[in-house]
Amino acid sequence: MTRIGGRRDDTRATPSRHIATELLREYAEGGPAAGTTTGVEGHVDGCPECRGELARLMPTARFGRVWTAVEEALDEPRRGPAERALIWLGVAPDTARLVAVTPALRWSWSIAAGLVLFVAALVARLSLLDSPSLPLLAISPMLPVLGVAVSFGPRFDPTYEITLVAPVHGFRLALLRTAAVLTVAAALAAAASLVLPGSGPAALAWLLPMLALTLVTLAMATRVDPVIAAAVTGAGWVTLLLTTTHFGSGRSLLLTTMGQAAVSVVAVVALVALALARRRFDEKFTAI
Amino acid sequence: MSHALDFSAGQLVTVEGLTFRYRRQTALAGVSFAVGAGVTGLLGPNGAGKTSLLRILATAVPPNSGTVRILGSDPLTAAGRLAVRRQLGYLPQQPGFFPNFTAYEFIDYVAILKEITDRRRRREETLRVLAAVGLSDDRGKRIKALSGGMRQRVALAAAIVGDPRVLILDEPTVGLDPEQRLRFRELIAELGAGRTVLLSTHQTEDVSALCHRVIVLDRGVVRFDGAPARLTAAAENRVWHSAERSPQAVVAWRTGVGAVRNVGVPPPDADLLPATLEDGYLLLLDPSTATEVAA
Ligand SMILES: [Zn+2]
Repeated sequence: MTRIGGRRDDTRATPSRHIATELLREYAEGGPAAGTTTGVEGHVDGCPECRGELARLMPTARFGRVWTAVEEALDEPRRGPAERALIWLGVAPDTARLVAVTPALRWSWSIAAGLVLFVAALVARLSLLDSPSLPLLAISPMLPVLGVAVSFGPRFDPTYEITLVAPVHGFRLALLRTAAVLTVAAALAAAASLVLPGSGPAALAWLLPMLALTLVTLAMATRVDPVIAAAVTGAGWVTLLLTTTHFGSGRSLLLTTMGQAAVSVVAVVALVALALARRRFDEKFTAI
Repeated sequence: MSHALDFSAGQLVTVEGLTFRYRRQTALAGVSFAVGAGVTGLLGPNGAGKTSLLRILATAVPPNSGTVRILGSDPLTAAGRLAVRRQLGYLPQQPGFFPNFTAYEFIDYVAILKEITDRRRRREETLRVLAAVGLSDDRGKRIKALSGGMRQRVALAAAIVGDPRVLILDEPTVGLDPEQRLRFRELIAELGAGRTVLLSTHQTEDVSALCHRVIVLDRGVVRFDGAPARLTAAAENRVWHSAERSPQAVVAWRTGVGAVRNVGVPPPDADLLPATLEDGYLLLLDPSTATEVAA
């Protein structure tokens, strides 16, 4: 059986360089060329002459069958690592696609976020601070907040308008995309935590604030521009850090059980607010 | 308005007393009309409120007041909005794309947004709409590599995914060269058979070429609603040419042949010309002749 694969190229076939008849014959007979057919299929797909030649070299029924499959394979959407991972985890391919187009899941965002965390971990590692978990605690929660800011609304989503008026459930879409952004940010922060010198459970003190800040941003974004929501959340976080943390000694209320409990309460309140405002996701996300 | 409101037929788009404020300005000041199957053109100058009206009909934004019924459903309620969205195709004024997607990938994505989850059905539908806009052979090209006219066709293909019964097209022919414009009109005329198509334009040629009905919107108010031929007829005996601009003209412009085309109340000895839709439209937009033309 002919192996199917390859991509269409943007330029399509150049008529001056047709596939040699020998190679076409090998392809038609499923011979040696069949294993490395990407070039053949990519060209023949865009070149009526070579396609006609190939059709002559194969039984009509078989050509039709093979070519339908080839076309389908050539059309098949390309999937990035995040999308492939989701499908591997059992997420339906159409849902995986809806999640994968989230702007914050692009490589550029993940790489930038990873770099920021790497620097934070490095600062901690070099013991420039007495409490090594502070830099990650301060920075990690802001990453998904920025991710949410660039994932919703007309400013960053070029398909905002047609997504808004599509029957697909807006709240479900928002939760899916936020969960994806959170997962990537949490994975990066967890990886950064691993390189910290043994600071015990405090190394994961960023987790609950990350969840809380993300939910607060999303809940606020049902009323205001997501970028403004993220900016307000960020300002609130900085204020909270400055008032509850002594950076010299590394003591922070946020590192205590009570502090973490308070953050959890904020997360729950934001979650409730979000659930109450869920219909807003199907109306207009922000005023534009 | 002369059109009686009729929700019973089901195939209608009906609005009543719509008002909408955008950036502290009144975009719509009480708009009412009802349209059935066929292509209806929404004509008006920039800032007339066309986009606001179409965004409301497309369920992108709610009006400040007034009622909307699309295929018998009320898009201002959650259930009605979902029902409308399942029957609606929308081409926004500035359609956005994922530039790295191929045309096929983009339409496939739109089909997911339109709840076509079955893989086989999605492929069939994606191929169908790409063929309908003449993009079958270019479906493997990335959108960033496509020309403006081809992108506009991708956007139209996206609008007709799922074969919606109502199509809202915001300036579908803008930015197209004359040949593409003709092709697009043909496409839209085909789509108008058996569907309700509402399109906005500021080109009277688009309206004469493909609309059976025209609604002229100016500063948030409906100035005219009827057959394009009626608007043309209203300008009959009001267009003349002369060597120099006539003082009686509401609008006058020098044409290619050197003579001045005047639109307005002609002098007794005027050299009259056959009227076009554009003449009627220009008379309608001028306060001194508007009421007379609209009547
Ligand atoms: Zn060839």
